[in-house]
Amino acid sequence: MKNGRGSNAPGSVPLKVFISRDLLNANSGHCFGRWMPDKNLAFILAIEESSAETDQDLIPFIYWENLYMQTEAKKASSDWKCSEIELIFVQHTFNGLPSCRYQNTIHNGLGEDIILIVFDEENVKGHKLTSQTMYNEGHTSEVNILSDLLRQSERREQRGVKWRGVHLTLAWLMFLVKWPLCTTLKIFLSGYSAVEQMLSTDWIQHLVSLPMLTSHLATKINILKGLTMQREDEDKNNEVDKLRVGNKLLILLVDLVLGCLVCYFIHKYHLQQILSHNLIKFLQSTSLQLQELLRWLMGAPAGLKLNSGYAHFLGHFFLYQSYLWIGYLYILYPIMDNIIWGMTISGCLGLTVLLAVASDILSLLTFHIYCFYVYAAKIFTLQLSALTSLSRLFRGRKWNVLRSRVDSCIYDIDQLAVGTLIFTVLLFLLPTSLLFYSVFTALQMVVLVIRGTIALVIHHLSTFPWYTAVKWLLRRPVLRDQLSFIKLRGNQDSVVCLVLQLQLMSLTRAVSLTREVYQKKPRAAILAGTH
Amino acid sequence: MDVGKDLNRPSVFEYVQHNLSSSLKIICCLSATVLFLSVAVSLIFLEGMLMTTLAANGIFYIFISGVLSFTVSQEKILVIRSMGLQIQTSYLLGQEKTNFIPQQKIVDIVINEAISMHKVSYYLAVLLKTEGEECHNFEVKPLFTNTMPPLTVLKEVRRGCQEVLLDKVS
Repeated sequence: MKNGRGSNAPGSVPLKVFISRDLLNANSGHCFGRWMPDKNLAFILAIEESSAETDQDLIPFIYWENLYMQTEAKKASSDWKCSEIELIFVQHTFNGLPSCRYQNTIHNGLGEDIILIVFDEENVKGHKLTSQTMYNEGHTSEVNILSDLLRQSERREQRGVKWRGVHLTLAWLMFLVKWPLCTTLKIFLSGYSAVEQMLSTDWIQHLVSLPMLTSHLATKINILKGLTMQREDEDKNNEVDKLRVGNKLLILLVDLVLGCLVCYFIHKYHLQQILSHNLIKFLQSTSLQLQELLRWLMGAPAGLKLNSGYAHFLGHFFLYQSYLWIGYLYILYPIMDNIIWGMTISGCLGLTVLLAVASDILSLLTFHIYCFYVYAAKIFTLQLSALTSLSRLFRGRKWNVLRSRVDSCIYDIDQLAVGTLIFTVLLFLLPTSLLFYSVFTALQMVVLVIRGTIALVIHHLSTFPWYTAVKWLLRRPVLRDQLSFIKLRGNQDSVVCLVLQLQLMSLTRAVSLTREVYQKKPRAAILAGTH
Repeated sequence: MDVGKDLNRPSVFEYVQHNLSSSLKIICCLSATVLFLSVAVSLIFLEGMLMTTLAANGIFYIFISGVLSFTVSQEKILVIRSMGLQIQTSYLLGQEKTNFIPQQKIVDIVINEAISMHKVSYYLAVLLKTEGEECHNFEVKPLFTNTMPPLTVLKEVRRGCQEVLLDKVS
């Protein structure tokens, strides 16, 4: 017990020996690596025949004996018979599971728990995510120590490699490209923030957030800001932050490339003319259909017997609105080509910009539907509130405005008569306005669904972490974080042997780890798109 | 130093619960052979019908593989002393899902009873420490949720787990 490694309380913490898979059929020798007496951990990274100094530290009490590879002559003169060695792993077969034997006979090989954990160097080496404290949910510290150790030894090996010159020139090139880009970006962004500060009043902010285009451009500028200005808590070696930077770049790039592709295809096949032509046709037919719908509502729609006078009044009101809208469209028709052309050109700024412009154009073209909806809703709610307040009349109650509660009240006979009259009139007019209200709400809902879908697509395009997804598809070791053990079956006398493997995390977890949401959550974005 | 040596406690405990899905496998094999035969028959006799048969078969295969890929074939737990507990779920088409819970998070392993519809069922559950909270609140993570082994098996598994993980001998 010279090394003090016998300090483990019996049965509580077994000795865990980590060994690389390649070393399982190594020649006999002393083990080198790291040895942590307080945690009862040993990491074997190399096995050398002599106990002389190497890069790694000697683990004094473990000896590796390979009976399969050893010649008879060597067997006799093996030099492990020094007093420090306490534990001997004996490998009997090629690549099989070793058994263990004790040199100091107090233990008799019984009761002392030893777990031999075999790992694959390649598998564990790239493992970096878990060394950050915030992301190690299901990990033990042992794996972190192991991956750190492996990286250290790798660094030692790479020290002699002569790639520094190439790296330097590459770095210079990168600097030359990066510097002007970054400075122009920074100047632009500082100008933007100055303008933003000037216009930071509430109503201007509201005005900016109304059209989808401006609010989307604001999010884009936020992404750019995040790229150029480093956060204070950002760590250069933090893998998640690196992934996030890559994500931001790729979001911009993918957006741009998609937008340019769409723009190119539209202009190659002259789709913009077809589009505007069809749009005009569609608008004309819808305006005709809308008028037809209004005339249908003015009659007896679906066999419902409405109040014909009121229905005619409402129908004429909305017909007038639709005439106004048709006039507005006639102004638009000649410049429709240009509007669509401008929309497709905006694809050069990115697909999301194109979509935002399309959404805005849609909301401009369907402005009348929004108006119809608002008028119908106003009439309907007015009527409903009047009905509820008049229904209190029958119960001898009234709404006390000063105390904001319902009080009892004694009405005169003529008050009662007039109230009943108005109540009856409103009640019988209610189905007609309800019908108009429901029809125009349904129309508005169609428009909202389309705009909501566009908003959803824009949100996903501008937040999806492409870089992480590509890394996941390529099965990069960076994204490995799931520990798994497999128990190996050996002979009766062999040690308990486990194989450690790090598995790739699921795509959803990877995405949720590195996704960044700017300003709005999707639901808020959709709702904002539905003003 | 020698206290407890005589017990010779294991440092690893493993338990595999298979799902009773052999009948399903047989059904799948039978349907696959039937489909193969149908393709062969259509090749030999009905030349014009080949494309439709192939399309029907393709849809059927996709459906079957979709069903199979969500069917659990076995659930395995592996308890390692001073490391933690690993839950591994394997599916019929060979995918595996592993979840490792480190020892520091585990409070206890218990058998719970749940009442569902008209019967009382027992399940094994791991009590996990919730972060930042007082240790009176535990997160309960049920094990063997897909295979649902009987109570006698659960008792055995629980004893084995506790022996290895928490040094309790009951």
